[in-house]
Amino acid sequence: MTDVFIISEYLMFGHGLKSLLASEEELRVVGQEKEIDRAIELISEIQPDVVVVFGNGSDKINVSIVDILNIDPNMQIIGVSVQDNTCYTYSAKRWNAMDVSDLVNVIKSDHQKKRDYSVVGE
Amino acid sequence: MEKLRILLVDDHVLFRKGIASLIANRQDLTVVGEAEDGIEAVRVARQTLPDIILMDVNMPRQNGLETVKVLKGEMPHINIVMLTVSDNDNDLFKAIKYGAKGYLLKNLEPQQLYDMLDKVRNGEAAISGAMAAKILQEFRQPEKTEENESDGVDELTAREVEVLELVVTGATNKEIADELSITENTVKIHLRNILEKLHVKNRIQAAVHAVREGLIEKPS
Repeated sequence: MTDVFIISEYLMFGHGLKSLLASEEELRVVGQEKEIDRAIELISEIQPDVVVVFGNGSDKINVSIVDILNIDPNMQIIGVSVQDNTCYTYSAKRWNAMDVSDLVNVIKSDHQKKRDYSVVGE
Repeated sequence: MEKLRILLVDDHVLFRKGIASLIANRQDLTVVGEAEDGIEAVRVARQTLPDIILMDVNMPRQNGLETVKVLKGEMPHINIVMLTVSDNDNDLFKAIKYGAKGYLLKNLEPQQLYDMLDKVRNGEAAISGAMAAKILQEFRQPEKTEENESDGVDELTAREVEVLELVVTGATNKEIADELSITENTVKIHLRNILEKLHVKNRIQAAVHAVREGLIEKPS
């Protein structure tokens, strides 16, 4: 079972998605909140697997995505634009930089992945 | 009680399907069709003849406001309620002027939406609290004369139109000042007046509004 938490300032989006997901057997909506700060508190308590954020691309929402990923880097966040049908997936990779080479290696590794993805996508 | 037949018009597919799912929870409501823009809405409305259309404002090809005008001209008996994230005064006043029966924001709880639909069924208007306050505020303002009223927006002067045309091209205040041989301060004053007259908050909204409403020609 995958636990889903929904954040939506525009309540109709959140309630609509909750209603749509109700028929999905392997998904369970464990919470919904319109206030970002309260949502972050609840997410810390509930620890859902996935957070769906309906947003308008505002700075506050972008910062909140980072806050959520800080709670648990393994949590998957799906951002859904309320303006159009665009969706984004966010995830985090946490590591300790003990030396400059650690950062350099991650930069190289991520850049290589990007190139690999672009080849796959072509 | 006969089921209220609803047409959903919104380019956001998740939102449209979500609302359809919420409406399906009610025995007295039914969705008879869906459309993702204004042009498709007119076609589906002709086929299904709904009692109520829930219509988004900002959509590709033909926006919700233009669509209200078209539909009310052709099918005046259909009740149209705007359901949008836009709390822009100009959108609100235009929607009502063109014949919308209501103006709701997408931050409603489902029960509030059901209540609003019941109101429309009973011949009442459906307007979100915040938007109703804007309408009252508009009526409280001193009466406008015919000379300075046009679609709820004050007329721009010729110079303001010139400034707006340059704003649309992405020009900075300095570039506008150079182009029109005026100072940057004068540009700022023109911009402030433009924002006030168009009821928008910033130059980007002004540019979008100008193109959408045909206040200027689209830059090539």
